[in-house]
Amino acid sequence: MSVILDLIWSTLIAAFVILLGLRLNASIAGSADASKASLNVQESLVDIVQTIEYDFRKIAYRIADPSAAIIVADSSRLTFLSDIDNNGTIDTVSWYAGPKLTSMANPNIRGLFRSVSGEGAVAAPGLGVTEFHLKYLDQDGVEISSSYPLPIADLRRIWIIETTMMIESPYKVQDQLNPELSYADMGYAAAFWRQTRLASRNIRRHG
Amino acid sequence: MGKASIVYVIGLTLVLGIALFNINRSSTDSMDTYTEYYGRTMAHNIASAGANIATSALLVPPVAIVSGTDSFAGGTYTVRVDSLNSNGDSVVVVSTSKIDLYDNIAENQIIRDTIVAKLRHRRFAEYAYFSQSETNGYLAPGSTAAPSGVNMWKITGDSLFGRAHTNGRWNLSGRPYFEDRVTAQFAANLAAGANPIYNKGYQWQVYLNRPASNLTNLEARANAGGALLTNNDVALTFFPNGNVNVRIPPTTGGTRNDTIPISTLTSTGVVAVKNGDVRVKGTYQGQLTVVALKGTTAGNTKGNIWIDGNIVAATNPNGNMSSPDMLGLVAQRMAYVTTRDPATGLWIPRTSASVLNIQAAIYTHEGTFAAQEYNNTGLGLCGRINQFGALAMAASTSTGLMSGGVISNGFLKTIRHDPRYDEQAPPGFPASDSYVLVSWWEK
Repeated sequence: MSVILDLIWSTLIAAFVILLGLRLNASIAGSADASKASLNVQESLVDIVQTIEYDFRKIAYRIADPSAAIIVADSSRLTFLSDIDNNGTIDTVSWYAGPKLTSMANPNIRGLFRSVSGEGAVAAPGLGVTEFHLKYLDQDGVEISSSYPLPIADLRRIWIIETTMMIESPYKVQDQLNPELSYADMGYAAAFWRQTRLASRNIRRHG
Repeated sequence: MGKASIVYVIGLTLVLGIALFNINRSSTDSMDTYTEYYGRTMAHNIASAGANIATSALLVPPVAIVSGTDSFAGGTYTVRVDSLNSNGDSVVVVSTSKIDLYDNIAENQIIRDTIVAKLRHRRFAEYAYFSQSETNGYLAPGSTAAPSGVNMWKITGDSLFGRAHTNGRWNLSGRPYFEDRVTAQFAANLAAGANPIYNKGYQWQVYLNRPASNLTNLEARANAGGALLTNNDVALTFFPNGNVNVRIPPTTGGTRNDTIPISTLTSTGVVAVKNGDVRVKGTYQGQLTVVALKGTTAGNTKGNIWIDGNIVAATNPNGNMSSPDMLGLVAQRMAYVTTRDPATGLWIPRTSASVLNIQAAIYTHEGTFAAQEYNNTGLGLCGRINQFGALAMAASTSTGLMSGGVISNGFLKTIRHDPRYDEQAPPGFPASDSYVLVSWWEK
């Protein structure tokens, strides 16, 4: 009888320990997933930011009249002239955000496109861009507040470009503070970047 | 049972250890990502600092060449300045930075960046309007009296189409219009309520030196081309077939009076008159710079260019970037629009509807571009001067008198820059020895 009782108790304890282990495993897996998702969005952000900075710093590079280098300035689109690849040929470079992608688990994700000299625009929706916003300031740091896209007369006043971007994970991740939340209540891993003083030296050349 | 427990505990510890290791690695990788971005940003900023220091030394007088290595913000930058040609009028600044975030001498962990800036001397022909100071610099013909030096104002209705610069400060009242970039050494002097329109922005603390060597270079170039004329006034009348009539002296032609191709007159594209004045008019073909230089003592009031009538290109450059015709008018003293007939001394008859067309780049080293006796009320209303080209002077231009905001005497004027002069200029046309930034390459 005592053996049977020992077996019953040990089975209960084992079951409890196994449940505890499973729960722990789920929690650790969720936490690891959240960490990985967070890392991914950060790496995506840095990759995109470095590419944007690389391009935007070259606005008007080798353009005789730097004030005419920006062709389109919209709230989420910028087209400018530059010898972007330093080969002596003037390129037309465009950056713009596309519409939201319905096929992604995260409905806020949109494509961020880059095209050079009319070649097919390249986008990478897997990077998870959810916000891409551009603001234009004059040489006094005052926002050029005309309606978007800026009229041609205002394009030559652009001195500084403020760029805002947010990257989110394609799927929701476990909340770090409250791991008990259901999937519906979870949020996306996100990284936010704002460059408030991104200006190409080429459009600020002396008179 | 005991062994099973030990195996269970070891297994659980192993699983937990691996899981925690992975989480920890994610955090470490995350930090690495930020650290690398920070490192690249810092390397870029350090390279920018080096390039800014070197280019500032070249852009802001006194111009200095700054090369070398220095520490900044936890890293180092090395700046090198090289001439791009034998004249030294184009230079390249290369600034390289390196930063070792991990305090590790391993070469592959050092983050580097490079910035390349190119600069060149600014040509005065690039300006629609350039003045050493915004004061009245009118020098009367034949007079050694100093100019009045009073401030000259740009007011409502004044428009400049093309780059505008003064080595002094702008005096602005009302709503003067600047179509292109405006620069000056000092911030503008604004009258009460002034609200100037800077269509392409402005920038102060920009100074462009005007070296006198431009004139000696032109004299040497004219001499080399067999076109250095001395000790007499000269009249040049241009014809659209590329010929020019040379008349010495202008009134009689007693010493010389012949019509020859410009290419025969000078093989270097520069004609200079030393210790004399030059009178020009007509329609020119080809590229030429006409220079008037002062003489010694008695010739101190010489060195003037006189514009006796329309002086325009055979192929109109207005709206035609491919026009091959360019004329530079360089005066050591003044460039006058003639208002008195040189033979009779009488006023040249003009009305408020008259138009004088000038298609040329004008440079006056000591004086200005002005209408002869612009402030003599006997002159009356003379209509308008339309200049298409470039204008660089020692002081502000004066072509007429204003009263109550309207012209009361002399000429109104319109100055429009010839965009061809952004990239080229008439032969030997003066240039500053101050640098201007041409391009800035960042990774």
